[in-house]
Amino acid sequence: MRPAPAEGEAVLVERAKDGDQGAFEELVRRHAERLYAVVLRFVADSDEAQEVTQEAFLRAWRSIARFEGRSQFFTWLYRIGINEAKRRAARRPAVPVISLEDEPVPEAPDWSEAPETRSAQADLRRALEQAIRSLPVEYGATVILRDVEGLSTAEAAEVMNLGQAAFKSRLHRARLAVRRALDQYFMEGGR
Amino acid sequence: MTATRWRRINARRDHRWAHSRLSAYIDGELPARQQRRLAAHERICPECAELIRALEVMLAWLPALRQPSESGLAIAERTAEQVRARIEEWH
Repeated sequence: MRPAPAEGEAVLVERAKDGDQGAFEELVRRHAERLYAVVLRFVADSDEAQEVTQEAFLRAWRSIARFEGRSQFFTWLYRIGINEAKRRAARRPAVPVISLEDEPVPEAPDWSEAPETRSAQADLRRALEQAIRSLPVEYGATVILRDVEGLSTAEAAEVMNLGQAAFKSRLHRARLAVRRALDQYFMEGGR
Repeated sequence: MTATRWRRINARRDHRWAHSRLSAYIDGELPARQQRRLAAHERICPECAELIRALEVMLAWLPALRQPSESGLAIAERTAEQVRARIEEWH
């Protein structure tokens, strides 16, 4: 039976823990889009992102009886999804990763002005996505969760199963690496 | 030690201290005293000031990477159907 639209998430989680498949399906509907969007950044393509998203929900269903509610449901779910994406990434040939060492790009241009044309904006978006994708997964995930998806530091650290200080340290290194990639991109004429 | 040398040493120490905390500073997540200390350092350190500005610009662009939600409903329904079918296979 499909739950009422306004049914609170805590109620749905409790019913799913009791084996209510309809309640779990409603949780899937509510979270699938955002989980897919996060996972898509770590996998090869949309088909794989769909597979990983599905697998994450199946893992969540198998273990939901053990979900104790110490974290929010979505942070628990995101953790399952990112771990599944990492497992998939580990099976693929390694891709070049950008350095996490903070080496400034010599004579990097000032790119503080927003690109004006739609084409330039699309190019910038591609440059940012490529830079994040080129980070090791455990670093790229910090930028995706905190800066793209807008989770708080506490929420994002919980997804990554890190203390907040460790998460901030990792996030800072990842942000610096993305910034260096943008320096390189703009030095090459923004192409 | 001269006052100038002492200021130079302090400035280098502040710079090293500040560099590892820039993200937390930009996010407003430092304790108030550290936030003030780093703000004071930003005023006198062109390198840190430039890095802060670059990171702030970059952080303003990143939310635009969120995937558009036009296909969101389709993803939600398709995933729900797939998950239902797999769960029913188990039973």
